[in-house]
Amino acid sequence: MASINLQRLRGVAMEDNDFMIELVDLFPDDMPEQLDWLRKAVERADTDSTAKAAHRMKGATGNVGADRLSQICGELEQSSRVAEAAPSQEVLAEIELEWARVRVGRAT
Amino acid sequence: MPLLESHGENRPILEETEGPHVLSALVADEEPSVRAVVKHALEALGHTVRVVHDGREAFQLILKERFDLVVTDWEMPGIDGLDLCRRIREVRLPGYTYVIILSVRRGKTNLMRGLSVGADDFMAKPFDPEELRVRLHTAERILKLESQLSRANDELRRLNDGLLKKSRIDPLMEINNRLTFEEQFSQFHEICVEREVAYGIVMCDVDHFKRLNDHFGH
Repeated sequence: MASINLQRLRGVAMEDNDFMIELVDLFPDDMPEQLDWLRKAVERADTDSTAKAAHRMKGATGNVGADRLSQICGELEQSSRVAEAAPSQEVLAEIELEWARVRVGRAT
Repeated sequence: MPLLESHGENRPILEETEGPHVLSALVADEEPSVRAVVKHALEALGHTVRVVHDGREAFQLILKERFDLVVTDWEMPGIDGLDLCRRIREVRLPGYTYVIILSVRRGKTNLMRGLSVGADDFMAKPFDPEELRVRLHTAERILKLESQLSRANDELRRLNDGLLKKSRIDPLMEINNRLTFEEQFSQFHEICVEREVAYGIVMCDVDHFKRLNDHFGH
């Protein structure tokens, strides 16, 4: 799966190329902040905050076609809401890896 | 005489409004990219758009400015989308505000929670501009009906006030009639009873009034 679903991006930007570029530029602005928030929640083993952070990231990433990243965030949200156990560091690593892919994809 | 015809020309009370309808819209979402895409889609449809970050900001603006349409996220810090919706329905705003909740939440339970606090529609994220375009047909239909109804209501109120006034005046003499006397007198009587004061009545009558009429005309 490509890190950014171009079809989705084109659709949401209504084929407006200038707006597409604007959107891609806009998207990562507060991602580092959100990732940081998520990382801290996972480290504190705070399932509630983890679910909230993952929920927000799911929406933000899904909106611009970062489908895979959005999907992982969604899974983390779900597992944090049901399981009492601390969220897994592995999922966090996966999210960070996928975010790096999205950033690289953006640059190419 | 039927009420509606007294208005003069046979203009229907429910009038059609012509042309495409430009909506004033407000978008509330924490996410900059979501605000951007919803604004972009609404503007492409010719509507005017304001954006805010959360429910509190949205509600403050709604109290100051008139919006036909509010597109709001569910999860927001402070006042969330449901709370915003509830508040919009509680305050008396001039005209109807059509509210669409745009959320990553799905499923029947969430849909019902949204609708039960007064949302008109529910859209799932990721946001789809085409879906919004189609859903706005319903919004425009409802907003149009609402504005026609409220204009019709104003018109009826105006007519009713006129009739109320007319029914208390004698058309021939153009002075207060018996109904006005009964209303004013019963009020006066109650006040006197309450304050335990006496009052007197002077009654004048004109004998053979018919002769006056016959002589002077009506």
